[in-house]
Amino acid sequence: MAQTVCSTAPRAAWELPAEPSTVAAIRNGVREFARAHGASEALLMDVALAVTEAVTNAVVHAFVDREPGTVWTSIDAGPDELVVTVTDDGRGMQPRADSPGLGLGLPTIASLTRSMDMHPSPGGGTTITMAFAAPGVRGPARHAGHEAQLLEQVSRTVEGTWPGEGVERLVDLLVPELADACSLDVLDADGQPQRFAGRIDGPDGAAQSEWLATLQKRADAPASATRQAMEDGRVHVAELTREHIAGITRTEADAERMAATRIRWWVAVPLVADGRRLGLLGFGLRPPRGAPSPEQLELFQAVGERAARALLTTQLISDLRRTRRRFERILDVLGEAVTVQAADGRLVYANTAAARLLGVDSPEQLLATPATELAAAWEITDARGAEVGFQDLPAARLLAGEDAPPLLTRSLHRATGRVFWLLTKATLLDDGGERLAVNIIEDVTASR
Amino acid sequence: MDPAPEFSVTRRRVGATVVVAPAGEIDLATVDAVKREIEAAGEHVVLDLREVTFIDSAGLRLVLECSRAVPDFAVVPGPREVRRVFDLVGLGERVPMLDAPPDG
Repeated sequence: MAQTVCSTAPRAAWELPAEPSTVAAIRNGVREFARAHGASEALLMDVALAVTEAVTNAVVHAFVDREPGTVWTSIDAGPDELVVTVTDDGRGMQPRADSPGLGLGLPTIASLTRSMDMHPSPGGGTTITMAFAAPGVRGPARHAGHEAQLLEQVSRTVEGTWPGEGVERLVDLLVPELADACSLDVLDADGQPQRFAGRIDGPDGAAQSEWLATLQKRADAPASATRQAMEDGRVHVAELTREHIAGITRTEADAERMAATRIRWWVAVPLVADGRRLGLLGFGLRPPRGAPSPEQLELFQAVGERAARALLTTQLISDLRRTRRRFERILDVLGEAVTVQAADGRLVYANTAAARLLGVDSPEQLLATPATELAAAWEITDARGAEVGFQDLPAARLLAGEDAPPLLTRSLHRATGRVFWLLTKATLLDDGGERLAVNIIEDVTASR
Repeated sequence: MDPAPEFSVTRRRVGATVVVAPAGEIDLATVDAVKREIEAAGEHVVLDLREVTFIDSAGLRLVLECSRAVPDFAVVPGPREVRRVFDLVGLGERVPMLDAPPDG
């Protein structure tokens, strides 16, 4: 039995003049392709009708007052789907009084497809992309190579940037490629999302983007996708109904502006790397794209993973830079005592002021002194006189995963009988391999 | 790629009624031929779509226009390719439908 291998290639494409007879030629070509890939009779009808409407649009709308140009059509078989794109090189979808379609064309396409997208094509003209649910059709996942390329771009874009210093390039990369809107939040020291970038596509995009880039949503609403994503570290979708918008915005004006974007679905993707929550990536979809499919959500999550990994690198560099600046400022100007403590309690760094404060001759000697010996040399109590153990000090608390507000202690140096009032602040530093706590110990004895 | 299938339109009189019967696919390229035959058919017209294998929104618009312009106008919707499109826009509620053209 003969088998025609080429008839089931995953892609077919046509380049034809934009004239009426082309409509039937493309319709029949697409129908043959869909039939060869096992599309049902009902689907063949839908694909034939939608493609006819799209190519007709290209033929009649795109060449007002000009010689007919070219229409490019392609059809791709994917897993349980068929995707058709129609591109013209005309002047796009201009309104035309003598349109033969009665305006039925686009609504017809929309009712036949799973999703449909129409946008200006790079060389001028218009591209319509139509995706049809096609159970049983087999083929490579859509844009598999393209997605890999996009994910690479995400990594490259985020690395080497710091929020506020170029991370808006990330949202520019994702809109309108993946979504109609995109936002980036980075968690601040209190774990609250702070908006760093926002972008909305469309004619009012510039003003809307500016609004989105500074929007502070209410993250306390129970239905908020952002809140849910922050809590369980998973991807969440919210439908932006009027009621939902009212629940997640702080002001009436914000609610109005959010509704005016016509964004219908909001996808919140937590940015998590190495178990560390860094922020949130938001994707907004308008009705033409349809509700996000499982495949779309997977892609959004993949983008989030790449962005988080790149952001982690970036954030660590920034942490280190900030810490070093802090060191330098303290050492050079204030002369405060600074120590860095490892997870096992061992001191790995101390400055001269720290050594002097703790009663040893040099930082080197301080680092060589076992923590137990150091602790035994002091009697430490809090402001109310209660004993403060080693595990209660801010650095130890941070390293144990607890919160650590600045701690005021009364420290009695047993050997000399001298009393110091010390204010200790600790900051956690995570270099990806070893967790460290930075202590800044201020001698406030003079002010007591 | 297959060439576009052949398209034709016939017109025949059955008593006072003229039956216009296109055969093939109705779209941008062929809809004007159908329109010309209907315009030449008079005031009692049946559009017989039983031999039509495809119709698009250009064809729908023609049917709607004729239902307004022709005093006595009815459609024989024919195969499911055509009925499917009519159902999409609810055309059956706006244009008289017949199961078959008048005998003759």
